[in-house]
Amino acid sequence: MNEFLGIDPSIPIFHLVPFIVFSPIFFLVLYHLGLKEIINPSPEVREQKRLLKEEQARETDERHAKIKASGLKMKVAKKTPLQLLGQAVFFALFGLFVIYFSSSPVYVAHPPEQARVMLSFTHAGQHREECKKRSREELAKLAANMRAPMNCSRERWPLVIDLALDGKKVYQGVAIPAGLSRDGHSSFYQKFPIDAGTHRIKVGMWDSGEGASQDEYDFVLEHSIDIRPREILVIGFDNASGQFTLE
Amino acid sequence: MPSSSSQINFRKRLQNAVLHLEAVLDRPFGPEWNPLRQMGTLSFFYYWIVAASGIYVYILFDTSVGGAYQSVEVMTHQQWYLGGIVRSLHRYASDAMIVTMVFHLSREFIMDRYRDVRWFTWFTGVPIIWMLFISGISGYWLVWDMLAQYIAIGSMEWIDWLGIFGEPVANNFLTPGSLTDRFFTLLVFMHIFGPLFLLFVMWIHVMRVSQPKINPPRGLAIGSLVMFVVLALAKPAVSHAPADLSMVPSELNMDWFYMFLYPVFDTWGAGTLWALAIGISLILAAMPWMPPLKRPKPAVVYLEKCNGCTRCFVDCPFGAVSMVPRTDGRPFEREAVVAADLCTSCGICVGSCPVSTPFRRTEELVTGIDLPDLNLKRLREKPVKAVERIATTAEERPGVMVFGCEYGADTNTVEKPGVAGLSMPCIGMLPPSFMDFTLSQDGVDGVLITGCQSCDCFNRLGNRWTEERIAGVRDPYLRKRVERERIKVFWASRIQEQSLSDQIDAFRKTLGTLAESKGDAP
Ligand code: HEM
Ligand code: SF4
Ligand code: SF4
Repeated sequence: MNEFLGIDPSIPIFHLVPFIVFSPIFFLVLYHLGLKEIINPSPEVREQKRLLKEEQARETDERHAKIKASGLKMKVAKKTPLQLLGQAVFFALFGLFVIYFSSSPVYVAHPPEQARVMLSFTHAGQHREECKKRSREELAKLAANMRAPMNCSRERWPLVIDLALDGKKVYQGVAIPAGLSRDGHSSFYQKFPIDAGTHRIKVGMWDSGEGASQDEYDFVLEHSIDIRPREILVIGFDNASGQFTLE
Repeated sequence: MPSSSSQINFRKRLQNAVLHLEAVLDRPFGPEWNPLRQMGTLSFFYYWIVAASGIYVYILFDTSVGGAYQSVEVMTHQQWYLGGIVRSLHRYASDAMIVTMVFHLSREFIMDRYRDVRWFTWFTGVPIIWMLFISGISGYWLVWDMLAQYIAIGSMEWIDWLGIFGEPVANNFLTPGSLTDRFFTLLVFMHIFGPLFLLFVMWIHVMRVSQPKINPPRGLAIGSLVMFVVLALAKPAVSHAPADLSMVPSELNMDWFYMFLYPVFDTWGAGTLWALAIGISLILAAMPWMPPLKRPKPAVVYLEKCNGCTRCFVDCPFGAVSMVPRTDGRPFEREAVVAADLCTSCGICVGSCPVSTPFRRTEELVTGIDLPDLNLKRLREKPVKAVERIATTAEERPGVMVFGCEYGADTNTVEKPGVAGLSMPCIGMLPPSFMDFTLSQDGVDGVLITGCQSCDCFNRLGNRWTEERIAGVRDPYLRKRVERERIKVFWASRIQEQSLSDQIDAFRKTLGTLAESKGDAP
């Protein structure tokens, strides 16, 4: 579908379908609930609004004229100093509340002495099946517009990844290909806390079938790292060279 | 009405708590300035402060990834006397807006002002919450310090959970090189369009409210401004260390008003937070119908009496009356029509219709617009009956008739020999001619008008209109010939029944001396 629309294939258009379908419905509902009165008021509504404004203005003018004529003071009573003090106390409490929670208490989002390893990349798994050439008989059975010479199942293998730190496995994860027919890219986005210091890191991945044995990773990287507190190490994957990267 | 008694009790208790709190603040502020009754207008005012300060801050702001932090530092420190103060105003007014919004919506909920006809205003309040949070959070991104880094990445991870975008958006923040000026400009745009859209929903929010109160009383506006400036000087808003995408943000001075959900995100994850955010929004949006309010029948127009004067049209607090071209051939330009789905049955239109006068024979007592459940005829029977009771014994003089409403102090509680009470859906329903009429009855020496506290009318404008009618500045007026000493207005909430009773006693005393001085003692 993406290729057909000429859009970056990594954007799974299917995920947008609910939005494309529901947005107009949502908008329609809103429109009839009241948006109509703003965007496109009927002549009757417009006339009502105009009349209301006019009558309200007339009423206000009359009222002001009468207040003036009668010398009435419809003003709020003057505040005593004690009352002003009370108001100051209110605003002081309000202000203290605002000022306190606008920057306190401190939140520790991440232990300051620890570092972080991130696993983040996008890669497309291998196709599950090779493309098959269609035989003449098979082609004849298909509708005229469907007679492609190759029969390609575009489904891809999920990615399976192992991450080990200092010889201990800390993570094994599977990333399912995007798209309804599972033919898109697979993505990893994971964070792991790690103590600062030197570590041996090993990351291995299969992109051509689940359950392969441990020694036969399709891709593997083993490296020694030295990481400072709060530092981030990103394990990425360079699709061009087919290699893991460390940044 | 709420469906079960436990619910009534729970809400009543909350309401009493609010009323007590407001009574405390009435002392320094007076009822008209009481900030607890101005949370909506204060929110609007704070929005304007944020918008104005935002424009100035934006002028000094550098919209590139590399320059953003430094430009904010310059305005905070080098130009502390202006840029720094304006930045602090921008921050603290945004924070205060969360506070006022939360109070405002809690109050509307507690006081039961969100169901039935008011659903639209409540319903459109829900996107306001979203827009306010989006506006505030996107603003914090622009500082591009460690806090910005933390909440930007958190926000993107939260959005990524939906899987709308093929490649995680959070990858834009992966390494120092991955955040481009182009993406950063996108963030700046969000902080411009977020607040603009917020204003748009705020506008829709009050669209159906007739003559909405948008601006706070001057005292509160000045008080707030002074408060913000003092806060800005006492504790200027500052940034964290500059963002560094190769480092994890660790200890953060969070703005808890806008960021309280990030720790929730850290502990419970994106899925839970989505479920919470959407679930709570849906529940909030559905509240006006949980359970639906059962209210009396809407107002009805009696065309043969309506002369199309437009008073009900102007006075209706819910925009339920419209004026349409005359349909019955009589020589008036227009006639009133009530939209049943907008009418709260408050009766304020009855009080504003010039035809609503009791000085006529009972058979003729039909007005231009009336409530089917408590029509003018029945409204007149009550004071007449009460007056008969007052008039039967001489020692009950001076007799006082108390008119009140269903939401303020209960007029039944103040009844005693010489004092009769009558509650109606809103005090604004009482046509001024009824006060005149009641005073003209034998045995009645004074009329006391009560109802919800100033600026707290359950039906929004009933007590204001009543004051203006008695003062003779709003149609229909209380006639000049009515002795103003015999009319007293005292607004009292449900928890102020004792003060109301005291006021009645005091009123009767002055009425007594009035009678003596005039030499027509009973
Ligand atoms: C910062 C955001 C908000 C602002 C500036 C605001 C402002 C206002 C204003 C000016 C009014 C009209 C008051 C009057 O004249 O009677 C109003 C009414 C109301 N608001 Fe808000 N509001 C905000 C948020 C909310 C939210 C989040 C909710 C609920 C979810 C809400 C619920 C209501 C209700 C139910 C009324 C109707 C009151 C009535 O009809 O008596 N508001 N608001
Ligand atoms: S009863 Fe109240 S809401 Fe209904 S039309 Fe009259 S004034 Fe408006
Ligand atoms: S106030 Fe009475 S007479 Fe005037 S338009 Fe309304 S219903 Fe008609």
